[in-house]
Amino acid sequence: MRIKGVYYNNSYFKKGDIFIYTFALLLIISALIYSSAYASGKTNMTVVIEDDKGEIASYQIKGLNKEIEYTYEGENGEFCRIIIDSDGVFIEDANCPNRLCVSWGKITKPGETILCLPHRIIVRIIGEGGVDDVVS
Amino acid sequence: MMSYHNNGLKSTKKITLLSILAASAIVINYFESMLPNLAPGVKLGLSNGIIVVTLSLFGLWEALLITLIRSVTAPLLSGNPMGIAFSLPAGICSTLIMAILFKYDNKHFSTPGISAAGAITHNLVQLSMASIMYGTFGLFTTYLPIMMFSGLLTGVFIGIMSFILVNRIKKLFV
Repeated sequence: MRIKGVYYNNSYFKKGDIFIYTFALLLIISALIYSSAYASGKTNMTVVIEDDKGEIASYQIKGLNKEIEYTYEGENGEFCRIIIDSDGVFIEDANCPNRLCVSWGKITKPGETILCLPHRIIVRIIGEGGVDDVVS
Repeated sequence: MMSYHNNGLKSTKKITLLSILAASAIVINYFESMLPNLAPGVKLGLSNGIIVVTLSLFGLWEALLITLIRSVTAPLLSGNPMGIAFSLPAGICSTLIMAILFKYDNKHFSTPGISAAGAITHNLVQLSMASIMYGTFGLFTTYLPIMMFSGLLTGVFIGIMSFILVNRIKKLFV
């Protein structure tokens, strides 16, 4: 009795792999270029907090001289403590099971997003103004 | 000599091996969910290795079966039934991509490369599902770089591991 194996390879690297690795690296680079292009020149940053029904709060970051603490409280006891200060926004504490949103840390650039999947909360920074305002 | 299946494996042994693979995919997935998270979407994806092993030992349909079992059971076990909406499409797409690459030309792609392609597909589909569900394109630019990079690294690592595992299993059944 012998398993031949349907598909069999006998090495750790083959030429075709280069395409796969290049494709992934190109995706990474283009995402980085896109996000930096989107963020450049945007001076007015607004933090928008949304749940599955829509926007629940928004704060201008520019000229903020103290920390703002916003606590989301859901119907079933879920909570999400969001801290907004002069250079970004982060989720300080939440009672979701995986706490990915907390581990993500602070976001500082327009276009960046923190997502809390279990509580269905989106925190994102929207950028306005700047030199290319008319174009965009 | 009588041949039983496309790979000459007797039915009972095939069922046994498949169920061991399915069980280990579920258990590995469960233990992995206990590990601390480094960043969103960054996972070791050890159970993807089981899919790679199934794919190279049996083929597409068996691998899809294991994917289905794992993608439905794992979110239920970790108490997050919503997770099926992410894990099922991502799992099926990554299994399909890996099967195509294996079948299309396994002279040109190695197991680590195929595994990396599977991991990347998995992460891309998960990101797309999240973007569709939350209606924000911003997720892509924020999460894509780190998810792609981690998918690349873990995919290659898992690929090497499953390559070794495939050869061990083959020796075991000689």
